[in-house]
Amino acid sequence: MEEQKTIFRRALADSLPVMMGYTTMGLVAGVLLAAKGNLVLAPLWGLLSSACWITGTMSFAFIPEVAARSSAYAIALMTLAVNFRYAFYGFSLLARWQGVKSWRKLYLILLLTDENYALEDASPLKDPRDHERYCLILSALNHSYWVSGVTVGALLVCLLGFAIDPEAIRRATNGMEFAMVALFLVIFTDQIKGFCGHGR
Amino acid sequence: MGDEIAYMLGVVAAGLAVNFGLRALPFVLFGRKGRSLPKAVEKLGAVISPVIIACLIVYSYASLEWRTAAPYVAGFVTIALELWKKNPLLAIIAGTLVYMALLRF
Repeated sequence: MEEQKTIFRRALADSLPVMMGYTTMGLVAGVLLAAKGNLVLAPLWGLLSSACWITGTMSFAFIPEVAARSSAYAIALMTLAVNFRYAFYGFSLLARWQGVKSWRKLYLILLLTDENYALEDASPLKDPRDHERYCLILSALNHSYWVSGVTVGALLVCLLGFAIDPEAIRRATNGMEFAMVALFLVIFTDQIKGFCGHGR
Repeated sequence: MGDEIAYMLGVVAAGLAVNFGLRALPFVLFGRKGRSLPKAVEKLGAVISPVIIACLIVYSYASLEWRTAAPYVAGFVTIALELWKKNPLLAIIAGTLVYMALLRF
């Protein structure tokens, strides 16, 4: 078993690229939700949807649907189509998470985003208890980045109203989303290197 | 406002059910306590991750400015730095800065 501190540091370091992506993408999603969603309670919408869903794609895709007051059923179907890939992530974590207890496991499953999955699966921690702690800390950190990004974005528009130009914010942060793609590229590079036998 | 709250709770619950349901599917099918995994599922788990990551890369490129050279140059920089320096954070930050800079020229 590794020390608690070491695992925390490891999770924090791994979460930094995700922080770059989640806070900026979340901010833009929150700003757009408040500016285009036709809602009175936009910050509450942002808080609840980001905390319960933790999905970037749907957080953008559902804004025009909500503005048009599409039914919850229609939004559920759309989520199913857009996020079907999530159904495959668990397969490579089944064995490592076999010993994780009820609530913790539910939380880890709820937080299985693209980025959490990629990092948790790539983590070299051998001891299942170390890996469990790593996953819990990583999930909680990334969860907090995403929720604060979206909520702050929606609050900004609500409080400062016309002083905020959604397009300007989008332009300023344009390109930050590459941090996530770069994260996947790095993990893929290491996987391929491992397969070729040079990485050990 | 009451209408909006009811609508909000319905939408959030619907999205939560679908997202959580999708993520939980493998665990519902094969995650029961005390049972060992079928061999085929264990194998699938071992080989599926590079395939998933490759799909995620293609999928996320589609949401970038993929008709310009910017994401490919930035991707090359990221991979080259990771191979050379073996420092993921450095590779990711440098690649992102290159991409942001290229978008602005």
